[in-house]
Parts: sequence; C-alpha cells; structure tokens
Amino acid sequence: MFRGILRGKRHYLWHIISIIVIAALACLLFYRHFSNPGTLLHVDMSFPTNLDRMYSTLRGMWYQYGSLSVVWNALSVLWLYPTLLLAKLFGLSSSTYLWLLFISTFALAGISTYALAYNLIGEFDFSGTWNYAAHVGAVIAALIYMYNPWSLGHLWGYFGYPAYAVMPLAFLLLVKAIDRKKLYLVVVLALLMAVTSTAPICIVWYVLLIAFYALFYLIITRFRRESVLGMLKVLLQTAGLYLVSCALWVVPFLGSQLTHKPLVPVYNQYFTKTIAEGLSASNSVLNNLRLSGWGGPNNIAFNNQLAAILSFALPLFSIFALYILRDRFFKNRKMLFMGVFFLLSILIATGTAFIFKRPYEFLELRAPGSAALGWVIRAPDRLLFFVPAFYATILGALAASIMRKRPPSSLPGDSLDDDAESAIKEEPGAAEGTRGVNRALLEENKLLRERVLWIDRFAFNSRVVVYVVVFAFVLLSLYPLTLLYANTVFNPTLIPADYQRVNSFIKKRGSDTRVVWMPFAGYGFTTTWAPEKRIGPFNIFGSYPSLYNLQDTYNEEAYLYWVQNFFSRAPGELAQVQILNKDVMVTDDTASRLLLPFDAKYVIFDASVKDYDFAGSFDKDKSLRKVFSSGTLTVYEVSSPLPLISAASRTVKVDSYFDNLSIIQKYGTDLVSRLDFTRGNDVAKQYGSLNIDDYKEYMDINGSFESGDPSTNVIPFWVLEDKSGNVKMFADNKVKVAGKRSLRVENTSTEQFSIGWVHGQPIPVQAGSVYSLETNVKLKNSIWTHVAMEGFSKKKNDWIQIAMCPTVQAGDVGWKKYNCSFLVPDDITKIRPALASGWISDKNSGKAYSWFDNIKLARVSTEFFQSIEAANAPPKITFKKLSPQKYKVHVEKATVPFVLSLGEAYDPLWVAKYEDGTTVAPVRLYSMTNGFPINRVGTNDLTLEFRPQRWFDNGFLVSMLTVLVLLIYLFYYWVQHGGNNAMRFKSFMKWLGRGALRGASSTWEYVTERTDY
Amino acid sequence: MDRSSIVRALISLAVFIVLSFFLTVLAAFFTAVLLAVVLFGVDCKFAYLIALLLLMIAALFIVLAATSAAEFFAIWSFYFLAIGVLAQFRDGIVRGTFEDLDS
Repeated sequence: MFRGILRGKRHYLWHIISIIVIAALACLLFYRHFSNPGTLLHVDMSFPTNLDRMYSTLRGMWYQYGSLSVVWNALSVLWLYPTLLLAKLFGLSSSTYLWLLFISTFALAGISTYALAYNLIGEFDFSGTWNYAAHVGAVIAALIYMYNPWSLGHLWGYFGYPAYAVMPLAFLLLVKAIDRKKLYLVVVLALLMAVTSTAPICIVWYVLLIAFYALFYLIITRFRRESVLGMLKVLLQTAGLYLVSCALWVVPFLGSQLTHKPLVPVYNQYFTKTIAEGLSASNSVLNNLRLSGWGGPNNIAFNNQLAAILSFALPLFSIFALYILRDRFFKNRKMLFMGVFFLLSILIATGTAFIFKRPYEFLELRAPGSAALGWVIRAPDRLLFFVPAFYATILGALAASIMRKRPPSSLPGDSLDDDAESAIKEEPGAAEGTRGVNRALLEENKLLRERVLWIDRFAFNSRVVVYVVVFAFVLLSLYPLTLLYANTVFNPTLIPADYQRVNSFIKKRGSDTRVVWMPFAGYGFTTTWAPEKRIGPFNIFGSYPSLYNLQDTYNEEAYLYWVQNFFSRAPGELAQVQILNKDVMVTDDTASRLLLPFDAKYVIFDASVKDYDFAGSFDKDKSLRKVFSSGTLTVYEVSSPLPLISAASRTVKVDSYFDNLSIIQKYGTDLVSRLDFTRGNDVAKQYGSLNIDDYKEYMDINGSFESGDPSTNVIPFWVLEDKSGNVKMFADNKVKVAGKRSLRVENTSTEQFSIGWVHGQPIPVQAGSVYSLETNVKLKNSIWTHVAMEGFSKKKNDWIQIAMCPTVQAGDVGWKKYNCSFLVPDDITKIRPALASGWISDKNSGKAYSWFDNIKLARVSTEFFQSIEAANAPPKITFKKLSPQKYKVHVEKATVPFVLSLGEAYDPLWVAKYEDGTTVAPVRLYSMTNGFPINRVGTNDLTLEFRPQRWFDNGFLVSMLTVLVLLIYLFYYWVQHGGNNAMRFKSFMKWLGRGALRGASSTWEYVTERTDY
Repeated sequence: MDRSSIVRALISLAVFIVLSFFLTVLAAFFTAVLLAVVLFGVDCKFAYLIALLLLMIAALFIVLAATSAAEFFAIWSFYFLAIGVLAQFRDGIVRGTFEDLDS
C-alpha cells in the first residue's frame, strides 16, 4: 500500500512523516515536562489554575478573581473555546491542557511553514533533486520558523502567537483566494483569520499582509481592470465574513466607541512620546535583522559574545541563500513578495528608532483614532512577524536545492562505450587511418568528459560541505536561546500545595468570600519556589474574588501600592514618603480600617515572594486575627469588613493617603466605614465631598524662604547644623518653584552619611491633631537628600524622626512635590522640619546640590473633623449579585445625595442604571475603585453593570451562528467538489441512508405483524 | 545619453528633493539611488554580495563591542539588500509573467 502511495503524486507518507518530525521537534522546547511534573508559568503566562476559571475568562467580560476587565479575551474565544471544550471532554488538568496548548500551537507554526515552504520549493522545481528534498527543506524551514528568537519571545506572551503560527498558511490561502476567486477559499481564509486573531496586534498583522499583497498583486498584474475588480471582490468578501465571524469582539469594540469610552488598556494613559521612543530604542536595523529587538531573555544576544556572533547566522545565510537562488527567486511571485515584505517589515519595525520616526510617532500618538488605537503598535518589534517566514522559506529552499543526486564517480564502462566502438567499426568506407583519428578524438573526448565529471563532483562536494556548514551554523545559532527558554520560561513549575490548602480554607467560608493578597505582584515577582522565574499573578487568578486591580499595574498612585508600601519595609521598595517610628506614630489596630476599601474578609500574606519584608506587620496588628497558615502562606481575618457595595456619606479629597491614615486613626470602624477617600476632584460637594485643603491652617515657618535679607544668606526660621565646614546654605533666586527664592544647600563631602542638616523652628503640638507637610525638592549630584519631620519624644526626651517626605533621593532629580500627614501621638510634644542635604554622588561632577522650596506645614482644623462627625448616616444598601458583571442594588431611605461605592477595579465601562434607564458614570475612589455619585433621595433600585458583557453576549450569538453557517457551507462544498474522498463519503451516507430506511421498514413490518397477532 | 535616461535621472532627482523634506538627507539620498537603480536596471548579484559583506563586517564590529559601527554597516547592508530585492522586483515586472501566477 505504501509503495502505491509513494508512487502517487501526493507523497502522503512523506507528509505524515514530516508532520510527525515537526511535532517531535516542537516537543524539544518543552523537554523538561517529560521528566518533571508542573505547570507552565511565567509573568505573561499566568492562567487561572483550573479549566472552569479559564472558561469564565472567555464568557464573562469582567473577571472577579483579580478585578479585571477581560474584554480582550473576546478575541481569543474562537481559538480557546474549542480547545477548552476538548480538554473538558477528555478530563485534562489545567497544567496538562496548557502544556498541550503550547506544544500544539508551537507545532502548528512549524506545520504551517512546512506547507508554505513545500509549496514554494515545489514551484522552484529544482531539477535532479531527490524525491524527499522538498520535504526535508520544508521541515528545516519549519524548524527555523519555530525556533527563531522572535518566535520564542512571542510564544512566551502567547496572546498573539496563534496568528503568527498560521501566518504562512494564511499567506498561501490569500494568494490562492485572489488568484482563483473561489468563495470556499475566501471562507477558509476568513475563518482562519477570525479564529487566530487572538490579540489586537494580530489584526494589524493581517491588515498589513493583505494590504501589501493586494498592492503587490495589482502592480504585477499592471492594474488590469479585471484584476482590480476581482481582487476587490475577494477582499470585500473576506473582510465582511471576517468581521461578522468576529462579532463577539467587534460589537463590544463598536459599543465602546459609540459610548465614547474606547477600549484601551489602562497603561495607555501613561503612553507618551518618551515611552514610545523607549519601546523602539532597541529596534535598530541591526537588531531587527537578527530578530533580537525585543528586551526579553533574548537579550542573550547582547550579553554573550558567542551568542552575539551566532545571532548573525539567520540574516547572513538568508542573504547567502538569496544570492544562490536569485535566478529562481524573481520568477516566483510569492517569494518575491516575501522578499519585499521582509524589507518593509524590517523598516517599519524600527518604529521611532530610524527613518520612519516622524510617521511612526504620528501614527502612534497624533493620527486620527490614535488615542484609541495607537497603543496597538506601541511595540514595533511585533511588526517583524513576517521576517521569520522569509528566513525560514529561503533557507528551506536552499537546503532542498542541495539534495540532488551525486554525479557518478566514473564514466559508464572503462573504455569507449559500445555505441562509439560500433560507430567507428561500421563507418562505411572509412580507412584504417581515419578510424584511428576518430578513435583518438573519442579518447580525447572521454578524457574531457572525465575532467568535466571530476569538476562536477568537486563542485558538488564543495557545495555540500559549504551548505552543511551553513546549516550547522543556522541550527547552532538557535540552540543557546532555545536552551535558555526551555530551562527558564517553558520549564514546568511545581506550585506548592499551600496555595490549594489556603484556597480550600477560603472555599469553606463561601465561594464569594473576598480576599486581599499581599504583596501585590505589580510587574511580577520572584518566589522562593521558582527562583529562576518572574511569576505572574497566578495565585490571584486561582484564588477567590479580590480587588487585586490588575488593571492598574502601572498606576503607582493606586491605594493598593500605598497600602503595600505602608506595611512593607523592604529598602528596595522604599516609598517616596514614609512614616517612621511606627510603634510611636501608628496605633496597632489600623490594618483592618486601612483594608476597608478592599471589601475583603481575609488577608493572605505570601512570604515566599522575594524582596518584600513585611516585618510581621500583620502579626503585630490587633485588628487582624491569624486564622490559618500553611507553609509560606498565612491567612488573617479582617475585623468588620465592608460589603462589596456600600454607601459613603462623606468622600474626602486628600493630597496623599497619609491623610487617610491620619483620619482613620481618630475614629472607629463604624465611622470610617461611612467614608471614602479620593485624590481626584470628580465628586461634587453636593454628594458630601470634603476637600482637606480647605481646612488646613498653615504654620508660619518661612517655608518658601522669602523672608530675610536677600543680600545675605541668613534665612529666618532655618538653622544650618554642620560642624565639618563642608556644608553651606544659600538663598537661591534662580532655581525655585515659586516666589523669588528657594533654599540651596551645597555639600562638598564625599564621605558616606555626611549629611548637611538644616532645621526649622520647633512647633508645640497637641496629641490627636493632624498635621500635613508639603515639600518641594530638587537635587543634583547628591545622595541621601531628603526631608524629615522630627518629633520631640517625651519618653526619650529627644528628637526622633516621625516621617520622611520625601525619603532618601539620589543623583539628579528635578523639582518634585511630596505630601505627607500624620496624627500626633501622646508621646510627641513638639515637631520641626529637618532638611537633609546629601553628600556627593559622583566625585567628577563637582559639589552635591540640594534645593528646597515651598515647605508647608499645616494643621488640619477641628471644623474638618466636626464636618465628618456631623454627616448623616448613609442609606441602607442591600444588593444581589446576578453575575460578576451585574448587581441589583436596593437603596433605602437616602436623605441626601451620596456616593455608592463598588469595590471592583475602576473601569469607565461600569455603569449604574436607575429603573427609568437613567445612567450614572463612575468616578475613581482611592485612585482604583468605582464610586457612583447618586443624587436621588428616598428609596431606589439600581443596577450596577459592566456594559461590555451585554455587547459581548449579542456579538457571541452572531459569531457562533456565522461560524456554524460557514462550516456547513465548507462541508457542503467539500461533498460536492471534494474528489474521491467526498465521493466515498457520499456513497457511505447513501448506504447509511438506505440501511436506515431498510431497517425502519423492517421494524415497521415487524411492529405491524405483532399488532396483527 | 538618450531622452528616456534623462527622464529617469530627473525622476530620481525629484524624488530625492521631495523626500529630503520628510526624511533625513541620507534616507532621501538612498531612496533616490534605489529608485535610480530600479529605473536603470542592475544585476542584483552585486547588491546581494555587498549586503552579505557589509553584514559580516557588522558582525565583526559586534565582536569588538563597537555597536554603533555595527549598526552603521547593518544599515548599509540593509540598503544593498533592498537594492537587490527591488531590482529583482523590477525584473519580475518587466518580464511580465510569473511561473506561479495562476491567472
């Protein structure tokens, strides 16, 4: 049978063998999974820890386990949904599912390239090559496409990898669809694109590929009318089918546009020209050619010299292949397009780092629609998506071209061949002499042929040696990075069982029990149980509902960061402002009140996270109760937590969350639970807003350094305390924040901790008062410049530092404003500001300079606190959770307008809706949660809803129906035109139908006969 | 020099002048040279060989930790690669047909 198949035109067996080889090669990257159990885990590879959770991230647009909008996941539904269904069908664990998903997607990249390379090598038609040459060449192409640095780096993120995996196939389909203009090809192309558009960048890739190929096609067909019309028809059909198939994300996208709340990631607001340039910085032509422009572990190309040299193998040998195959290259349209597109990709992917700086910047930041879409192209490295396909196919073609039959080692036979002999003998009328001459000529000819043969053999052997060296280098160049990724990114991670134990403990308290995880992952962290990795928030995804606020990873103003910095004492994480001597300054029962905005019943402290030191903060706090512990995880119970939805009668606008800390220390949980805090100005006064700035009584400390004689350096209220003679202070009328002068302190010391101190005048204070400090600081070539607030301790009879505002700064830092406030404890009787001027940072850069200006010390007036205490009690709130995206809220007896607080991460697409359809947009509370200003008094019913859910549900229905119809169409087309297999299928169906009919009639006969009896 | 050669040279010059307002002078100059190469026709073989050589020099500079020099040679290697590919593109267009074009 195999012989029959092999003899056939289609080398099915070779294809099957090739695909098996590619799948086996794909497994190499995950080789450690074969001997060790564990889960695929890395900072961008954090998936929920069970299949149901994964499924819920695809169907629900708000993910409560991490408080995160997952509208982006709508893009992955068509790709992940079927695989999850299969995984559930086969009862796979989440780790097995992830492993199989990664391997199969990676292998798919290889198989798709194999298809393209095989097609191209076939078209190159290398005469004299072995039967299997095209297969081997295509497998080499697949290997390069899978294991090149760009591919490995983007498999790590996974989000856009499926489109990369099928890109060669999509290109092949696009060419065929435009050439043949058949609907079934258009349908297949549209479906392939719809299923694999798993990230916004994939849409950019497809648009670029199709647009450039369409232009290329029109140029090579010289813009003939029928070509233009035919191509337009195909493109319109493809775009139409694609958009309808993708309705599940197209509808939410359009909905957000129509409501003027575009779907953009939160970090988009921090996206500036500087960041855009930073993201393009490493995308030089040199790095793009080597596919090393991305800043992940593939930086190995920059750190290791051997790896750096090897990184040139792919571009160098691709140009070499281009040189060798140039005659065939320009005759093949697909290859020529790939060449042109490769050049364009290299150029575009330089972003703002090369000649496209201005247009690229314009597209990212200033073009119409860039506010909503510019972020998609923020990382220009991703536009190199087609370069690996070019390298892979051209090198695959080069490999196939060498696999030809070896020239024979000698001429057939030792003497003249028989035909020549007989020709000489039979030459009519030829004399002996003439015959001799002919023989001599033939002998000479034989000699010549032997020489030609020798040269042929030499050339062949030399070529083989050169090509073997070329491919050895190419494969070797892939090795170091592959090994690095295999051992540190795609290796299995054994997650400690403690996480499961803690989850089981929480589960017993109810599936909707909210928790707070500490520390906050931020950009990811390293743990003691996987020290080689940067771990993402898998614990959050795998745990219970929480306001983890993964939306605001880049928002360092978020309350979550502040809380973490307040409890954490790691020097590496030292906040810009800190309260010191906490045993004196902070009461030991504040934690639960500080954690109220999280609406959580439990705090889970993870001690396995490196570089964070909470120094037993939670153990010491009397408002938290340790209730469970397992390994490095400890669970504390919060006293009197708030429900997820609550009402606040006062919303306090603060300058920093130290104001929050000072205020809550004055009151018990009952009163604190009526308060919300915000740093924005979004809540109007009518809703009970109080601005702490309106209640500040400023102390006269000459903090702007305006008083005094400008001609001297004597500055009233401030005294320089320095005995070394290294420090001098000046009134600086050039560098200042406001007014006419600032204070400049120069330090000429290079000795560590030789700080120049400038003290303010002591101010008597009363226990229970709240004071706020505002400072403006600038420094140049200085280390350890800071501002301390000192308090006089009765117990110690000495000055102690009670706050740093800012904490120690170093190097060159421009003017920055810092705010802090504190509640005066019983032990402190006097306070004074102390300005610390640091020593020299770099000996070669001259003196250390520190500037201070607008130092404002204020007492918060008693009217402020009276206003808080006098506020009406907030209305009674009851609510019902319809889904994580929708809550029914009942407000009872509201006497004045108030703010309704929802403890999910702030997202402008949350909305409160009255029964009459009137909507209220959210404002930010604590810089991270949602507050809805409610102006209706009395008893009311509202719905809190995450709007994209409704849009998604509608789009999902349209998508599923479209995909179903298209699949039925393809099946029908195959049955009609599918050749022998389809014929066999039709016969089988007919046979089945006839059998069923016969069976039915027999049964009927039997039944009627039985009835007759 | 025939009339068509003069026209082609003028087109290249015009492109250089226009592009120098939008791109750097070097980039405009290169684009104009590239256009001239395509318009006048050139054997891609030399362009590929030069590109290969320049990229090898770039690799040598990387070994010597001279990144900016390596970048300079890589850019010129890329330019010659572009000349080679576009020259072939031109040949393909001039020939008018492709072996793999169905229609």
